[in-house]
Amino acid sequence: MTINLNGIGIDYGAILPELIVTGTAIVVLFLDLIIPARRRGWLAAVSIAGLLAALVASIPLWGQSRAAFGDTVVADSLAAFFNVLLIVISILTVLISPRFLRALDLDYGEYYILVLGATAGMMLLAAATSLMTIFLGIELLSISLYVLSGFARTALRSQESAMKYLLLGGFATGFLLYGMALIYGATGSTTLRGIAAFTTASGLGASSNVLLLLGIGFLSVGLAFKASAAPFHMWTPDVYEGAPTLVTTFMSVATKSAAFAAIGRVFIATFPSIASRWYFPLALIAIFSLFIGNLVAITQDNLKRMLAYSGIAHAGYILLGILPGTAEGFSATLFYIAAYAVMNFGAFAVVTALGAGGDRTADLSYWRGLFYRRPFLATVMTIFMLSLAGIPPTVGFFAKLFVFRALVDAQIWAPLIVAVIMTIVSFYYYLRVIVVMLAAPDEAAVEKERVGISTGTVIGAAAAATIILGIFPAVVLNWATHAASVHF
Amino acid sequence: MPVPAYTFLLLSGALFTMGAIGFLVRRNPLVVFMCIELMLNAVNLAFAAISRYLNSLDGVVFAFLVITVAAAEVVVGIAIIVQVYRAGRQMDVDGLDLMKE
Repeated sequence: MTINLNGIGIDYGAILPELIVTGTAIVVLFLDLIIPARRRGWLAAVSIAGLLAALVASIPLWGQSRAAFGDTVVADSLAAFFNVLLIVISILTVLISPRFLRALDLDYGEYYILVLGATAGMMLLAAATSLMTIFLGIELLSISLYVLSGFARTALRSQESAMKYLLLGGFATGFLLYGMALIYGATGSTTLRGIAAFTTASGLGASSNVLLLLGIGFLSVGLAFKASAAPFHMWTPDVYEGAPTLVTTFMSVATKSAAFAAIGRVFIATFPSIASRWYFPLALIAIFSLFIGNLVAITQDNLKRMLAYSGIAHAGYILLGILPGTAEGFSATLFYIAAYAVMNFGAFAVVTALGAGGDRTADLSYWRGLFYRRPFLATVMTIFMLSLAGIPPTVGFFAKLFVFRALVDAQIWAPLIVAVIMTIVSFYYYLRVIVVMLAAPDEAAVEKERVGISTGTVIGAAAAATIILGIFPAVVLNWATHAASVHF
Repeated sequence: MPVPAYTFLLLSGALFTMGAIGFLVRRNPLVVFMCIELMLNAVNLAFAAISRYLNSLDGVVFAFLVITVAAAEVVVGIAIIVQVYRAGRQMDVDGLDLMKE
């Protein structure tokens, strides 16, 4: 056995954003020891400063193609696209956190460390070009999120959600790893480039290689679990409901984005030569997600659960963009991920903002007459619901339009028809929230709008972005197209 | 007499299946967690065997990585399970039913 040390390619510049985020987490860890408890707001400030630095460091990666560390990570436009998206989500999360952490009596410094750790893991996952780094990224984000979902330590629901996430997540990791072992056994390589070279070189042989196909199947189970696509979605509603809403806000959008970055790298970049083999199972997962997500969401009376099922449905739409295996489809997927991040973050942030009002604020009955009680929150929630439903002029409309157009161009009809029908079904439960908010309140008392400056700004910015990107989608679409082009 | 590589893969597959079945049928969260560890160790065996068979070190490195990450997962996992136990709940995953559709 020999180790080839040539071309290991130690290049810290390529992973500078990840290093900055990790470094910030370590700094916050030490700061937490020395600053007094009532000044914990500084931890949020330091976290945001670190994330902003990582954001700046990500921009030069745009347009590059730098494989580093023995082909295990790459600094390219796709990684930069996801870095920016994930860091922005993380910054917005930290911005709205201090107020609600204090309200829930959870104001501990570990919160910021875990958010930063999860962000670093997601960024690593988006840049990963080897089975090892994919595994490392997934575990770094998962282990941080296991703890975060149980962060309300004394709340039984939070504990329960942490345990469910931990056990089911560990189960999925087992499948992910076994798939990786089989792929390694079949191809003799752990880097995506090596695996792609093997499958392309062996041509038709690869599509009848049982070891390889079994490996891809197991790997897909693990990745679909993280993206909460049906039928691997069982954990999603319980974990989203039980976890503190702040954490749900963060993980619902960030985890899904990172997971789809990895799905894109695996299916689009690594296995295009055996697309005929993975097309059907992937289409089935997408259709399953569309059906289960949209149909079960109708019956939910808890906003967090409803948004969890809606998230499963959106995983289906995002997956549809992967199916054609074309640059157009992949860029539609990236656009959808960005759009979903904006609108779903906003929707969960509104649930968070209402959460200070007590335990059952996520129940739809609490939202009755919200327009009269909390006009600002009700208005922005209406925008997010319209966008999630895909009604113009919101970004959600264009997200669906681009994915559907990619399917039409690739002449993929069956999943498209399901998606269109399910979109119409989804109008019911999204519009129901608006109708409930418009209904006359039980008591006409007008509460004072207490949103807080930072929360109000973040939610307002998300709502503004939802509309502005719905009118001018071209900018983000151009970015998505450029980011998608690295693999075509 | 050298043992052929596929026997190790069969053993690894058997261990993995036992772990997966154990995960599905056992009720004590600690045992369920042990079943996950069994699945991960089955993966390690597969990596080590394939690595030897292909005469490449990648698989062994991967196995070390899995061992390290699994240790981190155990630290967090046991803490979460102990936390649930201290809340006075039964050690039974079927009892985790506060949230229902």
